[in-house]
Amino acid sequence: MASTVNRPRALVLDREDSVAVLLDPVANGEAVMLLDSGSQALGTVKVSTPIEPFHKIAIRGIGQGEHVIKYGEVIGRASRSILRGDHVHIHNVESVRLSRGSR
Amino acid sequence: MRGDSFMGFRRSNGQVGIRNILLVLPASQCANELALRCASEIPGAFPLLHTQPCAHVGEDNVAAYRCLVGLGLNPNAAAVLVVGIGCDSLSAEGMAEEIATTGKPVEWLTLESAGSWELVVDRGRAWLAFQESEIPSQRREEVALSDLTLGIKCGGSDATSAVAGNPAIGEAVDRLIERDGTAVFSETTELIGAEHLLRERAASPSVRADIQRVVSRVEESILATGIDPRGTQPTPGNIAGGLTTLEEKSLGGVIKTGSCPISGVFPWGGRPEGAGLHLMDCPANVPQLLLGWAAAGAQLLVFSVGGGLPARIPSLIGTNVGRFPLMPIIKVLSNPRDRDAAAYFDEDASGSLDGRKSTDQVVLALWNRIVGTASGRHTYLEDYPAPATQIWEMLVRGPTI
Repeated sequence: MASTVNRPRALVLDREDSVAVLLDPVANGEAVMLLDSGSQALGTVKVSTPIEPFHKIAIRGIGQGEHVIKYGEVIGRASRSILRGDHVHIHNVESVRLSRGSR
Repeated sequence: MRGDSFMGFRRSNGQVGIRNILLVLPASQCANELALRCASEIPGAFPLLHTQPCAHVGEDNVAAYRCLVGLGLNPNAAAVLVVGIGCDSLSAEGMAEEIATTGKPVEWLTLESAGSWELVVDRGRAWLAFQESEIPSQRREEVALSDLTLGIKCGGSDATSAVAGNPAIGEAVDRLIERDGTAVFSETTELIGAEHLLRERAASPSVRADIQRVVSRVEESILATGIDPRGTQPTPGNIAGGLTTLEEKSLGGVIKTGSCPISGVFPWGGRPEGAGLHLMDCPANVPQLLLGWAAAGAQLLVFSVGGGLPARIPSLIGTNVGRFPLMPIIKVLSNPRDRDAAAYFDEDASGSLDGRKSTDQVVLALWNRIVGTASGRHTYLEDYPAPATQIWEMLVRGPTI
């Protein structure tokens, strides 16, 4: 990859996305280099917790109830408000589908 | 060889096998032991044991019959022995007659027709031994990739599947279809949340309606139970690997279908009409899927695995023992954190994520693997020393009575 500094990297799969996929593990407070699918740098995001590689981070704030976008598509909605740099996973995102009758 | 051909066994009906399997097909689960005993001393024989009972009714039996006949029709089966009891709910003789339309050697034996258990075994063994002696006379010849039908599957998915293995498989599928080949994807449950993308790729309005129909049916059937599917879709392993919702899993899964139009939708037990990309309607359950793909005529399956614990299973996730000789399976690894388990795989696509390989290199290696496997190169699983024989699960929508 083309990043010049040895920062952990995260992949932004579509320009519409509100999340990025970490390619490397990150520690609390570390700045992550955002890359597009052509490995071009898109800036940095500081993460708020240690996160496993290939999990998602928010690259912008997502309000409670708002759709979460990955691949340029809806992967769920925020079950609580999410800040830029937060780990995005089952603790703050729920499925939009298969939810009738289940809660 | 040119880039649009491989070396296969041309059957008398024009279809092309990539292996010469002596398939021993029980008509019901009561005949599984007969199949095992007939095949026991014949190295090239594959007793395809399954769960078809007498307790299924109606459409399930129709689909099961189509599936069993389809397995016999699969061009990788060089010869087929159907064994039954005689009181099976599905007719061994009927299956054998349909399979024999291919022109391949087919025999059927039942306890009723042979008169005793021992006679079925003796005659079955003798028939298989003769068929095995005939196989060395078969020669591979150069055939077009339009004669190849490829199943595509992902399992043990994590967040790497959608950015490593699945995109490479999608590129390979596009290449195959550009060469007039056929590819079949399935796992209807795992299309929920991505079906709008598939509908847009439908080759006709009726295919578009079929895609929506099968996805809505599975979604409604889940909702009707009132069961919360979270914890099953995505699975605990999916979640540990960074996948949060079924939509996210589905959107990552459909990447392996590439970008070609979707030419058709067919039910489990059925077969695709014509070349191109097709959807087989089947739940995401590996044994049922493998039966379905082989019955649909797929000679080869590409199976994408993410990482984590599923990548640490040496055989095949979702099965008991993994071996399915009728349809070779190419295992593809996506997660670079599991590189040390790469020996359990045929292809390691994870290099595209940690800079060891370019995406183009991963795609080319997978393409060459597909063509090479079709031409006779063994897959990892084909040489896997499985400790037991699997009993494959038939699809049942119910009721079981």
